[in-house]
Amino acid sequence: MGSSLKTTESFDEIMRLYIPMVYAIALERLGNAADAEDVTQEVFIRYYNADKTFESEEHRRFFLIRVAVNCSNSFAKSSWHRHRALCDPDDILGLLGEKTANDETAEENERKRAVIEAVMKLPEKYRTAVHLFYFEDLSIAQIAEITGEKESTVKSHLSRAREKLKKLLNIEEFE
Amino acid sequence: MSFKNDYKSAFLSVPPDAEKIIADVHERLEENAPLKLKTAEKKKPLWRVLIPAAGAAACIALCIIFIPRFFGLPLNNAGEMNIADNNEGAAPENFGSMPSGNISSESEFNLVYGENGDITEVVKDGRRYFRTGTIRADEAAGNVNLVIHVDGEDFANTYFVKYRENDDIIYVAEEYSEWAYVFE
Repeated sequence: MGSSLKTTESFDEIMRLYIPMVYAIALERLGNAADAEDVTQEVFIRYYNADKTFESEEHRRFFLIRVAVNCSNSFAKSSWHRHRALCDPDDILGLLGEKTANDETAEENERKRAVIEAVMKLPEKYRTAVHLFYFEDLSIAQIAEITGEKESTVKSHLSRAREKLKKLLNIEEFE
Repeated sequence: MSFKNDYKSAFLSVPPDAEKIIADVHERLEENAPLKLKTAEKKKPLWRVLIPAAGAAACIALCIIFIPRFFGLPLNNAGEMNIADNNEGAAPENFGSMPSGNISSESEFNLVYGENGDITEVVKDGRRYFRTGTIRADEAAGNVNLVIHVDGEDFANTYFVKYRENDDIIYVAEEYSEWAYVFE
């Protein structure tokens, strides 16, 4: 049975459920919180206006991921984003510096910063594949479908990304 | 901790302000408003966009003027063969104003850039190749032997390299560029 948002309550529930996912995709792609929030807004506006019926929750999730990836890429290519200053006080590394959990050691926080810093140095096409694979736990076939690339291309991006990350993070094994 | 756990944990450490986003979405839907930019107040004045654009256009014009000078250049100051005689693997002293970058591929490549950002030398497996000219990339295309990816500190780029069976480099072309650099 297909499902579609029809009431304000259900739309808000869907947003609460998927905003973290969409926001993370946008944050990874754009590197700062303000732009990620703008893109997240845009994704759910498009979702609402599309008013699609989904066969399953997984179907809805893939739709949102695809829209988030496309919106983030469009935003990143926009003149505004390309001309803005690269150093921004609320960029992702700055956010990590502010938000250390109480039970988290400085070493753990430093490791997370190092991981994010390394990933942000990857070419954008590798970063999207890395994020969808390692954060969203999507398969290569699913990533290929969302990004419109061939599976072999996605595999190549992940393989090269791992090689670069091994060097940047000085690790031997990758998991 | 694995890379995956650290990566997930990092992003989960910076959650969004979901209620704010929900409120903004509803406001836009009610007003049918365009994207509400949080960063609107930080937009650059037009002149800060136009002046760099004009500067870039001037640089492109200068490149167009000076590129024909590169055809038929002498191979090097000493008039020696452009393929270095020595295979000692010593890198050139001056790498120009842009980072050379090491390329992850089967061979060791180092690209040496001139002041215009064009490639002036390639150091491959210890041998030095000096640019002798440029041709249109579509004339150099086909039978590309190797695709190499250059990763500098702040950039990543892809180059296509064509070389002979004896490994001498013929052309190097930057992805999407109209021009290819000739090294023979």
